[in-house]
Amino acid sequence: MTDDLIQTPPTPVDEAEAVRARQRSRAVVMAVLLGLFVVLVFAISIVKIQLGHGG
Amino acid sequence: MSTSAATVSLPADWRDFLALTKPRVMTLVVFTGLCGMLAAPVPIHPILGFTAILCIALGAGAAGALNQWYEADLDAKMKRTAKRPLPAGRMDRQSALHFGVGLAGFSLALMYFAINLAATLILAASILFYVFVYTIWLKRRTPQNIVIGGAAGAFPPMIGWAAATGDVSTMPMLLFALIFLWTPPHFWALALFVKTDYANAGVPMLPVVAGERTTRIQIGLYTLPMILCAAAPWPLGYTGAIYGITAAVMSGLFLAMAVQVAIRRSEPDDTMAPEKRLFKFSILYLFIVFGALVVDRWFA
Repeated sequence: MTDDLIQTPPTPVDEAEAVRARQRSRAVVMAVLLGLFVVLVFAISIVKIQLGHGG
Repeated sequence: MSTSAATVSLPADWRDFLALTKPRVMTLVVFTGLCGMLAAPVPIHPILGFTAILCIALGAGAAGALNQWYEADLDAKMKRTAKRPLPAGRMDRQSALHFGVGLAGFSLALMYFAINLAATLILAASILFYVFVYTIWLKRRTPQNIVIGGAAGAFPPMIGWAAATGDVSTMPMLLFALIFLWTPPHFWALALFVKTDYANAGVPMLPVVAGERTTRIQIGLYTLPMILCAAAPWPLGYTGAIYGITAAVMSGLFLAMAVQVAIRRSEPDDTMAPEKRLFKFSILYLFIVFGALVVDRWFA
């Protein structure tokens, strides 16, 4: 029971892993957003061409 | 302005960046922008309409992020805002600044290339007004902060209208005026029941500086021109009966609640129920009045 109460300080390996996990999740979100942006730009281009607003 | 309350060890989570954009505030901004766009006499292609609303949302998010970047020290002092990413120490201020500026630039560039110059200029004005006029200049200096600063939140229907038509006429100006005049009763009702929080943070909200009595009277006084603005589109011929009757009924209810708040005095250990009710109803009011505008335009 006492062991549960003792908190060991995080090791450098734990911290590095936590940072990498955070960076990974941010990279995934960024990749999804960029993918959606590409689709949006494509759709806007098609609409503009259809409407005759080339520029 | 000061550094955030706690030290940051991990890079901020993407959810913290999302929280920086004040998603709940954005809901009303997006809704009023959408209604402004749908109420315009010129239809817009759905893809371009979606893009315009996305730009309004991103612009509002950018303004929210820059507001939180500048106010990290104030937010740390108020219960309502102490858990935001910066005061809670989950993000460093520089990341918030870069995110806010980047998002603002992105929203304006997308609005310009996909929609038109008029909508871009109004969106730019609303972001700059919220950040420089409201957040940096007025908020800590005057109890009129939310009166003048309210203009920033009043721009979205005008942006939506401009996105569809490419210009701004009397009707979007009336919608601007409606939100502009709605803001003081809405925020002062909130300020009445979170007065201690604002006082602790040193924000000169009207109840803190001028007292409860003055605030209550001002709520009543601002409600009168607000309901005139809400009612005006029908007699002026810009809308039909669906909007006119809805606006009249909702404005009547708003006035009744505002008068109740205006004439009462709070007791010790008061639950401030009428003030809380007015605050909640004011949000519903804007949703229903703007919703009625769209229903009137499309189904009347």
